[in-house]
Amino acid sequence: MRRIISLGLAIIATTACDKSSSSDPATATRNDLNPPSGLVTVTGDKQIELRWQAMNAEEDFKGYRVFAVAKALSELSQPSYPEGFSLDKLKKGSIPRCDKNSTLFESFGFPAIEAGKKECEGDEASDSATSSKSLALIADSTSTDTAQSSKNDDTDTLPPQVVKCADRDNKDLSTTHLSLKPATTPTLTEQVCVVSALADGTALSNGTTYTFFVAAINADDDFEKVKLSWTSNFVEDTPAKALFTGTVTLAKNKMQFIPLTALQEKNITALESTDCDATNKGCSVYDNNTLSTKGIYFGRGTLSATSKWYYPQRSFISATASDELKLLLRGPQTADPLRAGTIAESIPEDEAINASAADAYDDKGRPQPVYGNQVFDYQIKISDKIHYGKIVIKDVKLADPTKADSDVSYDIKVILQEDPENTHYFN
Amino acid sequence: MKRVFCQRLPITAPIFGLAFAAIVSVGCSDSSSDPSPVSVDELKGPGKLTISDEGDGKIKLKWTGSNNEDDFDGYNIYGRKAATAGHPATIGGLSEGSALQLLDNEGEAIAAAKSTLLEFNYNPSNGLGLAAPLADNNTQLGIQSSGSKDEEKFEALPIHQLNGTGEDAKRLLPTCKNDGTGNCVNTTADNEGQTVEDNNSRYAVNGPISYSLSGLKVGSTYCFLVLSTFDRGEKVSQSSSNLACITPKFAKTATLTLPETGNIAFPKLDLSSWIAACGTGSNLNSCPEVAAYYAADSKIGGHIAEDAGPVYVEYDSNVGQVFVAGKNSAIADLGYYADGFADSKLPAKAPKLTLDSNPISDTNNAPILNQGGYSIAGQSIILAKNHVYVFAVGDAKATTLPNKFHYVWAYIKDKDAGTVEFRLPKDAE
Repeated sequence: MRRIISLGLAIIATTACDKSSSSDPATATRNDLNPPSGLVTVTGDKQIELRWQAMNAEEDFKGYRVFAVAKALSELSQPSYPEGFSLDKLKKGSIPRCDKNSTLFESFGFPAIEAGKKECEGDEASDSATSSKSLALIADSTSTDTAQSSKNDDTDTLPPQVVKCADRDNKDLSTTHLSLKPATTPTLTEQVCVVSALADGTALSNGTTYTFFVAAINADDDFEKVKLSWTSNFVEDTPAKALFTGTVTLAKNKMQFIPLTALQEKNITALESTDCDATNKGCSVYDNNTLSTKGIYFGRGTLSATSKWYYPQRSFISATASDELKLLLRGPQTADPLRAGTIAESIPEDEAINASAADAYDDKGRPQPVYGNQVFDYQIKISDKIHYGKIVIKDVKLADPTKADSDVSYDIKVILQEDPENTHYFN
Repeated sequence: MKRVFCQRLPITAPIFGLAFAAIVSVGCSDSSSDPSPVSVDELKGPGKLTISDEGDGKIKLKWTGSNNEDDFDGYNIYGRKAATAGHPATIGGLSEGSALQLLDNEGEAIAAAKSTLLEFNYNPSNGLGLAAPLADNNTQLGIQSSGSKDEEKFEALPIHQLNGTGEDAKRLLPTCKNDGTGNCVNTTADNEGQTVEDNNSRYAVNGPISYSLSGLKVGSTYCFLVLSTFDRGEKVSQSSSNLACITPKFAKTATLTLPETGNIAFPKLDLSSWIAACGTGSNLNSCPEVAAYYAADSKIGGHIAEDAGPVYVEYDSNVGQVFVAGKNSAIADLGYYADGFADSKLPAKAPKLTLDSNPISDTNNAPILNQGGYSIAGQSIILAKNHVYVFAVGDAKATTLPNKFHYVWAYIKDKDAGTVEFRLPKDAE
């Protein structure tokens, strides 16, 4: 047992040795400690990148804690404060840790709030934001006494185990008490945290849905008196693996093919390559994509002496003509997480693979031009199960820019979306 | 207790102008200061500011706020037309994307920041055109001072409404207050002075909030920044939002009959003539109806690169409906955007078309370097539901490849009904 330095610490040390946690921080008002906002995630292979907006320069501000649980948001208990809050609203809004929300916070490792402690208090006016379909948290029901969002007794530390943040180069940014300790700034700043394990060290696994939130932390230097901000919004994500990363190189009269069924079921390291019929329509992808094997074709326009409107320098992507395979151009990939999206988030129900009409997606094998910095979504049905994925195409280059029929090459990445509703953005 | 920072410059300190000197001295007095920055731990500044173009000079500013302070009463929005159109813009030394800091790390006022704010002096009668700071006798505003200079609280004026006219006119500040649903609406005589303490469920802000503005001129560039406020806008957050700028575009929605069979006189969309008619005559800040420029072409069957264009709408039995660019034009499919032009994921700028010099008729080379993801003339692009396209329209009469194009944006809102929304920047690039 640790050496006891003071009575206060002795109490903490004693309870820390018990199985029950003494980690029961107070909650600061939003006026006293600005909560993080705008939390979004980027799906990775056994990791999730969290990004949020923060403006914290309070006197005792120390940093941020990330909280994570291996459950979907729908599996967590509903918050009861502020009134009218639901799990769905949590995706855009924030809540305090107080007695009415105790069960929700217990999922993340907090102890249950003792009776009579940390009461959520204040008038709970109806949430006028409910009338606005685009906003969930403007003037949410708050205490008329804005000095308190819960009756606080300054207590001690946070849940003992910390979800560690790393940067994009895998450098650990966490401390003993904090997931992330950034510089303070009076202006809104984006914070980035790559999470690859839960607080207890359990590594994230592909296919499991996790729920996250972030809180700002005020504390003394010893982290013995801690205050937690209201939460950020809550987000879910499901890590997913990259199925294939490689380079497409197309000489003239060449096509390459990704068999998606094989890709889903096993790793492949190279694309299937085939020659085109140079005397006919050459590498016209449409003519070749009626094969029964469902997959993605990359082909070239053909240089033809008789037809000046075949475009040899152009590369095309096409999916096999099939009701069970659909392809959709989603636009450019950029570093901004708001520039991409998930299938379920953006595509209406009638675009799903089982629907009869899907004009946005292409299921007729039509060629679409490849020009670089593009993202495609695909849906493929294999043995009655629908799989979702993304194809990212970067940097289309002609080996000799002065020759239309020289080799075309570009990098591609095929990413599996384990849970399309919870696959966000991507690297 | 709120802390208000001010700085008294020594006599030898550089003076940026009479108006600025006035600010310095006024800034160190009481409630007539102009406006005084408050440190972030007292008053949080606004978050990231973006602007969406709603067409024909109407825009919507959107930012995030986290303001539950008892004395918080709204936001001051500063707006200004840039001297020249284009991006990135700079106003008073502040670059597009940067935030204005009114206090340094020691809590002292930053003199240059006040000068920048003076560039945003807003006159309700002149709109966003003022370039000069307020004159001492207030003649630029047309409001006569009824007393001492101290009664004129602001020299760097945010956007605001007036209550009354002439000598009795009173500025209603701050610019806007939360209406309780995330809309920042102009302060009124009824609610000026109201704060979070009076009604926190209405005036507090915890999330996104927006402010609408109309009457801007298509093709001009406008820049805005936002500051949180106390005391009817007299005290402001130490940091502003980022400076966000926009060049409004023309907007039009059309219903076009899309061909459903092949080998006919496919329709041509005469975007060149449409573009020429936008912003002229009776359409000074708008465009004429697009449908008037959409009609069957004289040629039967598919079009080729030498055809005039700019854009044809054709039907192929194998591929379905397609766009085909004509001479000196090109088409880019940006992809699927569920919310069209309101989709936050849509790129802000059209990709720039660059061409090499190889002529189309050269079967060995053809134009190779169609950078920006554009098709080339004569090439089909699939016409798909909810996709956004950019048509790069060059001068069809040019005998050499044009180096400037008008970029017309088109969103297929309802393919079955043929509903297409268009956006057009005023100037070619």
